[in-house]
This record gives sequence, structure tokens and C-alpha cells, in this order.
Amino acid sequence: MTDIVEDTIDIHPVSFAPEVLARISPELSLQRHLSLGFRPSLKGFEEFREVELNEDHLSRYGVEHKDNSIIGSNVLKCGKTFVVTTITGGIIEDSTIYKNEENELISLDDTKKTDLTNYTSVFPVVEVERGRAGACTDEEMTLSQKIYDSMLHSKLLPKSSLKIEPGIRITDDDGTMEIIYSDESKQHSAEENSFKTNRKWSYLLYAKIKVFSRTGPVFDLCWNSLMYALQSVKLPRAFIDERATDLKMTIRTRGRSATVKETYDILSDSSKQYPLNLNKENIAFASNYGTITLDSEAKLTEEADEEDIDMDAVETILLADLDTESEETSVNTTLSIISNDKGDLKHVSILGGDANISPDNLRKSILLAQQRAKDLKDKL
Amino acid sequence: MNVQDRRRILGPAGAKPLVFANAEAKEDKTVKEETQLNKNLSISLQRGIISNANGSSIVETSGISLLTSVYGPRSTRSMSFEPRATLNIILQSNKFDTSNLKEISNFLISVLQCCVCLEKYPKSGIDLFINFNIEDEDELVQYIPIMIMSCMIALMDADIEVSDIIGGLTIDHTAVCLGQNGDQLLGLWKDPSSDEQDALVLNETIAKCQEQYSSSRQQLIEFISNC
Amino acid sequence: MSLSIAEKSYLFDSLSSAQALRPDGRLPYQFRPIEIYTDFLPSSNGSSRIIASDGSECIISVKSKVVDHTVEKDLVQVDIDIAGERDDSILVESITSLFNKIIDTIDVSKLQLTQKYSFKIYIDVLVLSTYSYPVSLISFGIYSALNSTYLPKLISSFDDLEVEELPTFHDYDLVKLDVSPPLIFVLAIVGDNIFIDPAFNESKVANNGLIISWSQGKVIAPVRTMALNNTYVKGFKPSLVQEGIDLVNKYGQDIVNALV
Repeated sequence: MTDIVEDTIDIHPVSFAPEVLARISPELSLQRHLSLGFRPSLKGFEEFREVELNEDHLSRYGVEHKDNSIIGSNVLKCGKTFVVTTITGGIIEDSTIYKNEENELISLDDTKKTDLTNYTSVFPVVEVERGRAGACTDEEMTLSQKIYDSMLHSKLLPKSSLKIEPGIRITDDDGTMEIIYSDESKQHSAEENSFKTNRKWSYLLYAKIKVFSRTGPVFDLCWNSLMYALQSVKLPRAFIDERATDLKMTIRTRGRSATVKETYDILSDSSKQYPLNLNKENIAFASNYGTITLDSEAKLTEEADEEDIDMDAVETILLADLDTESEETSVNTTLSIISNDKGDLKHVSILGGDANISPDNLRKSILLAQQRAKDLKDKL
Repeated sequence: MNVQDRRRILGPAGAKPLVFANAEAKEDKTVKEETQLNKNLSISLQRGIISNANGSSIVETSGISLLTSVYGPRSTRSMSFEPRATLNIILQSNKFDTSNLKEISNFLISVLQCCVCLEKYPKSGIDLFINFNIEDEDELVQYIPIMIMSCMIALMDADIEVSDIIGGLTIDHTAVCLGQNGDQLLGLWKDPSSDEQDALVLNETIAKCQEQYSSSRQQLIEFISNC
Repeated sequence: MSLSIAEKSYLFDSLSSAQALRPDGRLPYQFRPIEIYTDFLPSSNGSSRIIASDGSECIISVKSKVVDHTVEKDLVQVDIDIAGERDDSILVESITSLFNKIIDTIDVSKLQLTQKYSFKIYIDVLVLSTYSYPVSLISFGIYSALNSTYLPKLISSFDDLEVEELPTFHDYDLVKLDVSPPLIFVLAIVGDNIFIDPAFNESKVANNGLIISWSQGKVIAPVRTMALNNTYVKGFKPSLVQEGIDLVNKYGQDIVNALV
């Protein structure tokens, strides 16, 4: 035991292939890349991924006539990730329409146009595919909620554009059916007047957003895909069957209780539809940014003219469109901006981390967001 | 299950989904029949599109788009020792109800168990997710051949060993899954159809499928050897 | 309960050989003895309790409700619960889906009361314990439960399209429900042999399983193959499907006769 081997032991520095290092120490890998002037995905600091669109192939109003209930859709491909958004509709009677508590708290200025209660949102369900079945993850819940809130507050979708003006389906004596809409035909004004109901209906929009092949943060992809999908939405004309318009029967069961049964079965016209009316100026696109402090120690010290590095000088850089695992885990300071092409901001969230967000970087990111929004808008 | 889902934003409870009046249902029929004939001709296959899965595939024909991703072999949560991998298939679609989807996935598991070398992957699980992106037919049985095809491509993309290239065919509400050059029947799924004959004879249908099997298998082999 | 590799190998060899021998000495088409009690739930319209010889047990209740059949299209609904399985497990969901498909073959005109109203039948199945694929047991249970179902007798008029009234029923008299419920047979394929009603140990070595539906003297759709275990599963000779169907066609009626 006392014998100590006195042979000298050579200690070789362990070296890893870049992809292995990226798994073991994402932070170091990121810093090494940044110090060379590009990112692990080989993009520049302020470079975005290319976005490819595949508009509205899935809905019933798409390329081929399909007999499904999807009324708007979009497939957005960005890098390796792709997002499939499908929009379906629902009908609700206005008396029972939900009250959003939030709306009552925020009473904005008097002008009706900007009042939040006049706007609504879609009901998004985000699913991020990662090979697990079962309950939805925290990420999916947060994404859905954030999309719902941002949509409502961006005042994109006025309630008035979801109102239903139902037509009437009339069956002639010879059994042919005809649907009459009051705003379309003048000569049927008699029939039009005969049907007056004090009940009102509205459409609801549901968005199902599925994210495949997730490689980084996906909020901006989901949001942008939803924006494109909404612009493709067509709402069907709805009608009520004539026989149902005056259907009001009292059912007596042994004289005890009397119930008034009114059944309005609102059906959607499969041949007539109109595009959804959006507040076009409020269409905005999302982008995300991160700032990270360059770690001077992580620099590859191969340059001969290695000077004394000033340890106090902190250099923070702005990265646009965060992607890859190493950026997601190492960049803790993130900005998420929803902006339109004119630079009107719809949503800004800044999550603090270790790096400072200088006014300079903030300004730069807002400018980038505007440019990105312009780019994305022109894609359609 | 009457418990309200609090984790998703589902909108108000009183809403009804849109119901489209099918005025043109009759016109559609003829169009559909035509596409059914062409289905085998125009099929587009892709693989390796999902980067966070072990393997994936997209199979598209007119009116159908299936995206299959394979996760695994990966460790299972089970505490006991399993000498073979557990195969699981999850179908995801907006159109069909879940119990129907689960019955089909149960059937697909039975079929795929015949050809996936599960004994090579002890203590692990292989999960396949099949996503319907476009679905035109009303009957799930029509999709069985394409689902099997997309599973096979995705499994191979994930480098999971299989002992045979299997295929399926659907003739008139009957799906037949064959392997071993068509000599072995791996699965049979017959749904009730409107034109019910007196005695159920399936020999003919199976023979017809055996004839067509080699061409669909050839298509798969060509795709695999090209990539 | 699990079998060792040696046990399985012995079972497989004896079942797949040319002179196949089943572990309990049954013939290929022979069922295990079953016990059935009917009409034991006083609050249901019909009920049955079925016990297989291996201790598998299942209780079924049939209840009814009057519905407007112009609105409600599904007049028979099956709900299955298996003890020890989650409601959304693949086993429970796929068996439920199968039964809801096969139960559609029931002639719903027998449930019609008036021009507007029909009975809606709810069949609730609770599998208390099971050792092999339970569909055959469940279908026999449903068969005997439906055959022991008595529904209230209608005394109001059949024609109620013009008059708005709900059907009224006699206070005491009941009418026997006359539907011919379909049955499901499970067959195990081992090698080139085929056996009706595989027991637990036979299922464990089966290469594949066949699910065959039978109604009123003949085999009907749905017909399925189904893996009965996850180790011995493989393909089989295509002609075996027809053999299985012929077997059920031949002995189905005898089995039904034994049930009633």
C-alpha cells in the first residue's frame, strides 16, 4: 500500500465533438459559438428563420371541396418546426354568452371602438407533440392562455363580425328547398317579416394549434400561424328551417307541469359563406428575442495577440428568433414582442434573467419586430 | 366524464358546433368514388421530418394526410423486468370518436407486433403517434392500409428492426393485412356494410388482396431503397 | 398468474400439433361450462349474471328510457366497465366500440312505441373478474339479459304525430322484449389449428385471435383478428379465417340453444 507508482501520468485534455459538447454543456457550446460570431444553428445574431406557408389546404373552403367542419387553416413551417392550425366554429345564443370578468375591470375610454368588450378572441388549444400522451403540459397551458389574452387585447376580432343573421329555409309544395337571406333578396320581404325572433346568435371560433418537431420556443410560431389561419377563415351563412321558426309547443304531462319547448336548429349553409371580417390594421406578428452576456472566459484563446481581457467589460448581445436547445436553456433573458408592420406594439413581455436589457437592445428588438412583421405580412 | 376541463381554454359550455346542411351530398358521391380508384396511384411518401422524434413519416394521397412519429425504444416506467418492448399506438384525429380510434389502434398493435422485433429491445417501449391531418372518408377502415404504410416507414426511419415488410389493403369495408409475401394473414378487420349478403365469405376478398399486395409492397420497398 | 416459458412451450406444442389436444380435453368447438342467472336486479328491466368455469364473472343490467327517435338516433347503448382497468384504457375502449358496432345490428323497429317515441335501451356491463379476452362472456351475458328484459306495455295510441302527448303505459303489464341479440365468439389460432373459447392458458400461446359475430343463424360482420397475448403473435394461414367462420356457422346455433 505504501508503494506509490511514480510513473508520470500524462493528463490529456478531454475533447469532445461539437455535437457532444452541445449536449453536455449547452452553455459553453453556445458561448463558444457566439464568440466566433454566429449561433449554434449557424444563424447570425439577428437572423430569423425562414418561414414557409401552406395556406388553407385543410379547410372545407380549401383547394378541394371537402366535407369537414374546418373553416380556416394554416400550416406554417419555420426551420424544422411546423405548426398546423385548424379553425372550427361553433354557435352560441347571445343571452347565454359568457361574460369575461376581465372586461369589466378594464374600462377604457369612452369611444366605443376601442372598448374591449366589443372584441372577442378565439379559443385556442395548443398541443406540442413530444411523444407523450395524456394531460396537457404547463407549456401548452401557458401558450393557450397567452394567445387567448393577446388576441383579445390586440382588438383584432370585433364581436360584430361574428354576429349571425340567420336566413330561413323554405320548402315549396313540390319539395324543393330554398334558403332566403333577408339581406340578399328583396322580393321575399313578406316572408322575411314573418320571421322575427328576439333571439340572437353568434359564432365562436376555436383554434387547434398543433406543433410538431419543436426545437425551441414556439409562442411566436403559434401566434403567427393563427394570424394566417384567421385571415383564411370563411364563415358559413346560417339558416333556420321554416318549420322551426314558429315551433313553440307546450307539452303537458298529466296537467302538472307545462314546458315551452322552442327548438331552433341553426344549420350552416354548405354553399354560401363570407370571409371573416377582421380589424385588418390590428393584424400583428410575433417574434422573440434574447439577450445574453458574453462570457469572456469561454472564448477560444487561439489568437496570438491575446491581450489582458478586461473582466469588467460586459458585452451583452441580442439574439433574434431563439432556436435550438442550447439557446433555450442558456438564454434566460427573453423578450416576446407582437407588433404590426407599422410598429404598433400589441404585446411586449420581458423576462429578466442574468443579462441586462439595455435600452439599446430594447430599441433594436422593437425595430426588428416591426421589420419581421412586415416580412411576414408580405408572405400572404 | 362530466368534469370540466380546466386546463384547456374550451370556450363557453352552451355552444354547439357548426352543423353543415348537406345539400350537395349526392354530387359528392361520384367524386369520391373516382378518387378512391386513383388512391393507389398518387401516393407521396416522406420521412424524417420531425426532429424531436426518433423516426417519422408523412403519407399523403388525395384527401388523406397522415403524419406518424415514433418515439423509442425508450425506457418504460414499469418496475418489473420486461423481456420484450411494449408497442403502443396512439391515433389522433378530430373527426372520429376516441373509442373508435382506440379500437383501431388496438388492431394495429396486434398487426405490427407480428413484424417488429420486440425481443431486440427489452425493458423499453416504442410509441407511435399517428396524426390525421386531412381525412376525407367517413370510415376508419379505409385508412388501415395507409396507416400501416406510414407506421412501417416511420419505424424504419427510427432504425427499429422489423422482420418483414407488411402491407394492408381495404376492399369494401374489409381491411386485410398481409405479410410474408402475402402467404400470411396478419390482421383482418371487417365492418358491417349496408349490402349484407347471406353468408359471409371472406376467402375471395383475401385472395383479391393477396393479388394486389405485391404491388403495394413494391412501392414501399422502392421508397425505402431510394433513401 | 403467469406461465413459465416451459409451460408455454408445452402448451403451444400440444395445441399446434396435428392431433391437437387442449389442456382441459375439450373439443375444438366446445365451450367451457358457464352459469347464467337472469333477472336478479329488481330495479332493472332486465339483468343477467354470467360466470365462466375459470371464475370470470360479469353482470349486466338493461334499463330503458322513452326518447324521441327523430332526435335520438342511437337507440341501444352499451357501456362497459372492467374491474381493474381504467375507463379510458385501450382494452375497455376497444371492447366498448366493438359492442356498440355490433349492437347496431339489432332491429330497432322492435323498440318503437309510437310514430314519435321509442324505447332507448341502456346496457351496462360490469366485468368483475376476467382471465381471458372477455368479449365472448360479455356478449353471452348481454344475450341473456336482453332475452330476460320486460318493458312496460303501451296503452296510448300509436299514432301521435298530430296530437302532442307522451306515451302512457299500463301499470302492471309488461311485454317481453323481442330482439335477437347478436353474439360474439372468440377463437384462438395456434399453428394451423383453431379453437373456440380459448381459456387463459390457451390465449397465452395463441398466434392470433379471431373475433366473429353471429346473429340469427349466421356469421355477420364485424369480424376481426385480435392478438390475445404479446409474445406468440404472428401471422397465420389466410384460409384459417374461413375455417373459423365455418366452425361458428356450424356450431353457433347449438351454443345458442344451450344458452336459453
